[in-house]
Amino acid sequence: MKRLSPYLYVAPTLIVLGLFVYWPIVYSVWLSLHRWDFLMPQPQYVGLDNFRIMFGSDQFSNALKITALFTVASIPPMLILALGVAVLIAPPTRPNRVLRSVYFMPTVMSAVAIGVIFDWMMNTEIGTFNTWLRALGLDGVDWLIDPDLAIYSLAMVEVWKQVGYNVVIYAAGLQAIPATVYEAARMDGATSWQRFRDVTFPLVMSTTFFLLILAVINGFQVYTFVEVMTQGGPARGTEVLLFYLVRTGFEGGNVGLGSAIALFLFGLLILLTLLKMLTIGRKVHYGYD
Amino acid sequence: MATTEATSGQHALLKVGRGRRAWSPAATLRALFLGLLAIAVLYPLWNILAISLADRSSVISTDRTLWPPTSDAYARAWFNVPFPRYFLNSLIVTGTVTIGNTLTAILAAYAFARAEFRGREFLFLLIVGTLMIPAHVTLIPNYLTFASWHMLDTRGALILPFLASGFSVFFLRQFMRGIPKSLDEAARMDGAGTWTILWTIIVPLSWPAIAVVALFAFIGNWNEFVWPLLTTSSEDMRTVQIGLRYLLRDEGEGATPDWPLVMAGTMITLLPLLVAYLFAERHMIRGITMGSFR
Repeated sequence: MKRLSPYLYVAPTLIVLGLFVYWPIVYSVWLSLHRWDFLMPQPQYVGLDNFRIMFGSDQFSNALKITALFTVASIPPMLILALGVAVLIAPPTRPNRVLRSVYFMPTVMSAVAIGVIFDWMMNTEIGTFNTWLRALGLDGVDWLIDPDLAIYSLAMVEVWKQVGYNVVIYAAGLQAIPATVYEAARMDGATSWQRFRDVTFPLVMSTTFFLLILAVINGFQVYTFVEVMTQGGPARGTEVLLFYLVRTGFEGGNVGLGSAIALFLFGLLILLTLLKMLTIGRKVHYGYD
Repeated sequence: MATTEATSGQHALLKVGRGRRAWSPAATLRALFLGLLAIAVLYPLWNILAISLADRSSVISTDRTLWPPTSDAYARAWFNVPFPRYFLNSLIVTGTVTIGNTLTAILAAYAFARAEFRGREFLFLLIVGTLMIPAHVTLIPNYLTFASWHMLDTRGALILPFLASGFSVFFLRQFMRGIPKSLDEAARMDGAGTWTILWTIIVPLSWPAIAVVALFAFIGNWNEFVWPLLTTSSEDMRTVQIGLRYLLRDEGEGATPDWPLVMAGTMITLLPLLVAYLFAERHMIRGITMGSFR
């Protein structure tokens, strides 16, 4: 009984994760090697055909491009804003704490709710942004209707949602910089800009890299904003990878191709995650000995 | 985290700010920048409230007046749209997931923190390894699994996959390892068994970490969107997120949404989270900073 008991404690977790995380990966690999829609009685083995179809498909390369645009467009404003804010609100004074909790708030809000608000604010006819622009005597912008612009509008929403998280992580990174480093810089007569450029910036580099990769990981999994605000349109202008996956695998019922897309995404994200783990040095690796 | 705050970096940053006049141009710019950013975050939230209290027809005209406020949209959300049903579904699903996820994590974390057993390191790696696996990869196979169990469009399908998570186990195990083993041994001397030690010593001492884990499970599951969107088909099974999504845009494309109703739905959807945030924001931020460096 004594021998067995640790396994009993671990069993519920292992069963759930085994059934709904590990088994699905094995199953995905199997599915990706078969042609199967919900109408066919038997899946048919087709080797790597699904991958060949995927890589040859214009819709796939479009989805990849759109996802990359979304990710690349959202990262610089997100990181720059976050670092700027983190430096300014780093001293733990009361107003700074209040500001930090305000900036962090969107992080806990549901993506659906955020999508709904910005769907309203970016509405061409009656939305908030265009109301403001018209009040300034400018023309309204087709935020979500212009096929070339829509994905950048969604990237702005992503920045709005994620910036607070990045502020919090940067603030934690800043706290890890020893006070003596700043004192030394002050002794040498460095101005506050020089202190930022030559001390803060290089010393939060590992945090920046961590946040950068995390943002790529998140960016490649964007789905909800697209589902709620643009449905992949207009003219596939916002059809990101996951949206393409769901459309193919679920609405199109092409389970094999859908699984191939999923595995492609999986491979990509695993690579990025391994890269992220490399950036976390021992000293910030929380709690490990 | 508290000890770190008291020691290193923040002093340095405090000193950077020391000696600057309160109303120097730099301080004014700083306040302006931070203030504008705070408005950029809060304004959309204010928008939800304002539109949800507006009159339906006045919202879509360009010279809209939001005064006088009316609670009409909330009444419609509650009585005309089955929002109470969605809310109840979300409460049941998220409540079960929060409790279940926390319980499985407490058990597993305790074993990993305290017991010596064959394969411990491997099993722990297996569990923490799930943090690397994006949930979206599992959508199709999990859908097929629940289809073969004839469980699509049930609450079970919304609950089961979320009853354990690598993050919860990892986070709790890190915390439990910090509890001195001498406490266990003292209890063992008094005749307490493994199970008793868990519930009388470890769990009460792990309370702050358990709260973080439960909070994250709650937030994550309340906001869950893709899985319930794909697995629920009947209106009766919808959670608030799915209900809200169909409120904005039902199958019929092109129709103008009933904006006050949509915003009232958004408000109802956000409320539990904003309340939780108000009370537990500090725990949440601490959990995020600890959890991110995994």
